[in-house]
Amino acid sequence: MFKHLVQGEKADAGDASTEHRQQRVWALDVPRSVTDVAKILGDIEGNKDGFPIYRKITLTTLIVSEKTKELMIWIDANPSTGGSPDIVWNLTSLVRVDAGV
Amino acid sequence: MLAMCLPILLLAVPIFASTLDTRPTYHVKATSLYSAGYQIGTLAATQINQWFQLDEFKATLAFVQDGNGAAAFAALKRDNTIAFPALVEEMKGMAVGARVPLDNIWVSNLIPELESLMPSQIKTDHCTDIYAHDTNGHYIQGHNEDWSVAVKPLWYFVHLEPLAGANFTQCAGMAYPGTILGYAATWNTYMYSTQNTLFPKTTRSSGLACTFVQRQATCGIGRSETTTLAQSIERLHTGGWAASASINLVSLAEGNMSNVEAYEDGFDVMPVEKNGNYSQ
Repeated sequence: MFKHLVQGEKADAGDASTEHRQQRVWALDVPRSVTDVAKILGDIEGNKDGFPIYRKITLTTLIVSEKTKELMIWIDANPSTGGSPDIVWNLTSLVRVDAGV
Repeated sequence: MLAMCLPILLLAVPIFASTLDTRPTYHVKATSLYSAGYQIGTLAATQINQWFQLDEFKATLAFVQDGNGAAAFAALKRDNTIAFPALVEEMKGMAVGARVPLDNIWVSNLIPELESLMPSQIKTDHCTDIYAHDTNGHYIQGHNEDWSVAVKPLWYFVHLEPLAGANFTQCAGMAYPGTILGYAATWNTYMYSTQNTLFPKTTRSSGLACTFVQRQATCGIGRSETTTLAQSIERLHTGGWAASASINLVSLAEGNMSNVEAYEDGFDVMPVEKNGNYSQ
């Protein structure tokens, strides 16, 4: 859903899923950590109305952190459950490190 | 032909995760995007052919066979070949490497534009993005990549590494089968981007495709690497988009973020203030 391009907002076909997920994000606390962001992206409260943030069609969750210069990736796994990411990319060297290695 | 291809194949280094998920990274080293595409096509041939068997791909391929769909497909191929000749070379290499028709690779890379034109529009929900800062002001950006259950097992990582004299820059990211880097999460050592699909009521049947524009904006054009947020935004601001996209940009080196919305010739940038947050 367009959020700030006026031309797009006028042409927007509307999207119930986006509207529900946006309302849910606004209802949650402002994120201040990677864990907070993971909790939002893994939120399934919307299951009751059919519009969760983390969905059956979510392929992967990616979180990039300036502090560590890393890209953390959970693959087909809810990131809010506290599990470590499956893969971490070092964005300084573009080297991939897999969990357990 | 075999002898010519052998040295190329030896440069391809597939890396497999050793634990739960064996999602591969196809790390290819090349001097040209054709060679890089060839290597990726060879390595990902299985996923590419499985993607071509999915109902979503078949419906899109059927759409471009005649009538308005065929006309739009021809116009999109024409416009993007003129604008992005090097990326078309990568697609040509991919088609040869995977031993599949080039038009199937084109369809894979024009999916957002073609699906938005289809009468029985396949409205696939896509993605959530969260921009945040920690208590020390360091950025954090999160993204859920959504598509379909059928596509889940088929995507992979790609890392393009230019050899001496190459006509492209380093680029890595998540790739859907048959699709070049740029559509899903993409990064180099300076920039990181993700994309959210938008759903305007109408889209053009010609013009620039989001995947190609985003690839150049995140990684580079030819030998010119994208290194700053301003440069990335400038490279997105081409005008003449066929459809639309919401692009989430993180400048890894500068430590700032912006959301960009593009729709046909419309373009707007929403900077995420230091210590601010935003969701898309």
